[in-house]
Amino acid sequence: MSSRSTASAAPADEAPPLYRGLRRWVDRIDNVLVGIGCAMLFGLMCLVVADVGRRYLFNAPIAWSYEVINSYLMPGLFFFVVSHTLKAHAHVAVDILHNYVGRTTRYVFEAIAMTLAVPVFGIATWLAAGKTWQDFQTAAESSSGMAVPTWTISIVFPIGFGMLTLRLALHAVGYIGTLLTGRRFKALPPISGSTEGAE
Amino acid sequence: MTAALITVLLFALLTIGMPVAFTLAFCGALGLYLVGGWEAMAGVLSTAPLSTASTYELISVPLFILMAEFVIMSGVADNLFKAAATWVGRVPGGLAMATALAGAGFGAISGSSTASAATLSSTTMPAMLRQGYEPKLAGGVVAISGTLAMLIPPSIALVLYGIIADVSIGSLLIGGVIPGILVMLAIMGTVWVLVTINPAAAPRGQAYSLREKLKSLRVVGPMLFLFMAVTGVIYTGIATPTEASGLGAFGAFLIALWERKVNLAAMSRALTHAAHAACMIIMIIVCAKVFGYFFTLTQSTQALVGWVSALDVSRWVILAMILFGYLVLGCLMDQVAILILTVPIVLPVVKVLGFDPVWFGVVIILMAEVGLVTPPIGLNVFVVARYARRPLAEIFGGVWPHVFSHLLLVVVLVAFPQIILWLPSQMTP
Repeated sequence: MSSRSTASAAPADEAPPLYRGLRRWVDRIDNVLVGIGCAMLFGLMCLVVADVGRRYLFNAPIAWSYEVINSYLMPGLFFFVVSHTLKAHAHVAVDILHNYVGRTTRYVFEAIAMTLAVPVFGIATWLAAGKTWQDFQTAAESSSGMAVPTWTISIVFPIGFGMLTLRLALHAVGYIGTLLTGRRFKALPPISGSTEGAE
Repeated sequence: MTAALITVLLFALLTIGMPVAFTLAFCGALGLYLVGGWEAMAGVLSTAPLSTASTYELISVPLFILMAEFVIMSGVADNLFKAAATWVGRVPGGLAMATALAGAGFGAISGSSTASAATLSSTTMPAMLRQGYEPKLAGGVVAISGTLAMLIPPSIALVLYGIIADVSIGSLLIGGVIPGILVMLAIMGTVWVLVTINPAAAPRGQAYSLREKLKSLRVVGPMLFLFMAVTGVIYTGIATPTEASGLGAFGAFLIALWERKVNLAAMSRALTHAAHAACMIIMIIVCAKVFGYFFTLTQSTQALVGWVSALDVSRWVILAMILFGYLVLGCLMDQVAILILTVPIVLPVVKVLGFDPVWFGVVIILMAEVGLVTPPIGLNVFVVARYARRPLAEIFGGVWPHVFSHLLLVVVLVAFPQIILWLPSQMTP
């Protein structure tokens, strides 16, 4: 078992136009978000080095680094990349059984997995969006040193999990659609460690 | 009862290939709903993801991964096997031993056993076969060398264990140094024994002059220096593991700059790979938190600890059973998933039995690594067989002696915990 990012699946070209259009839009938004997430990762490295350097060389650490890392960079890195990580098949799964079952059974497994995940992340998104909206309306500020508006911290949560929910739903529809119509809406993910089983 | 049913459902969904994180989230949310109702489930789902992703200690996960990506981008890792072969290629079984050395290097870079085995399969396996090595011996050593990834610092698995178990990450990383070296020596020793029994299995390689050997070090030297520096600053207390991860990533970036390999496409690739890998790990931690709240509500861990404490058997028997469990799980699952699923439940039991959590962390990671090559499932063997295009049975046949020597090493580490604990005890507080 391992992350399944070793190979990318071939594009599904038998999906209806509406499905393809939706997927294209989700991909576009995800591409922007993953770019921001990567910039945050590089920024995280630079900030840690600058903080350590200033602390040891000048005895003057960056006062705001801890809060910026905790409140913005780490959550941003995670939530902005989480949906793109699913697209890249990089969420780790135990797929040994997939070596021994047929293509249709694999579609059934993937359809079950994605369908079950949709409501969980959908509920989390809905709750997080409500909390962020409430923070925005009340102009609540964080209790730590920087006293920034709380919604600027929590907004990454509904954005990231919202995109994840959309992508999970697209995957679920793609697998179910393929099973019901026999047309390949969505390719199967590659089996870990090889391109075998991938489509 | 609910805990048992949800656990069965968890394993069923894992078996059909549902991503580990999503399985944990679904089962955790369902369990919370069944035990505590909507309020409990909503309370956890609305807070746990953001609070978990905001944990400061987690920054060493993306930064150590970024360090690895920058080293790969610099291209110096490509010369690892060549450099190792220059030094030990002439001795009997030398290329196989060079594979173990390269495995330690790739392990430090990639942090993933499977990725390490795949890389070694495509680089070292053809070189050994060209030199007339017996395919069984070559495949076996490639599969086992891939498993070095999780012990050689900076080990993502040990960082994760530290976060989950609330144990000093610095002590764990330093505690993994001697076992990592011992594992590497065990692989080389096993090769030596196999070649002594059957010299035809591994013909001698080309001899190199001292000048050529030193030249090979110049190529991989900066990378070796970087990894020793990262381990050194943690050991001496100059930097915390989180600071060391940032410094290591920056050092690797400077190496890539020095090697003139930094461009927009390469940077984008390295950052995206690192972001995906880090996100995957953080997602599992986030979702395990949801599942953990459910498990806490059911008080299953306390019940298990109470039950084990009341057992009238030696603590060593219980430890042997736990380690055997990790060996089996290692055959089936990724180390990250194993640690996150099991440590919160098993560690309280281990502590009650009087074992050291740092020692336990290193030992279970080694056991899970052995599981990765243990028949009939061992994933690393599948990976090597596919990448090297060799029969599965041949690789399994070659890996058996290494499984045996590794299990012997585990027995030694269990009998003499100081092998693991001595170096951390010498650290500057």
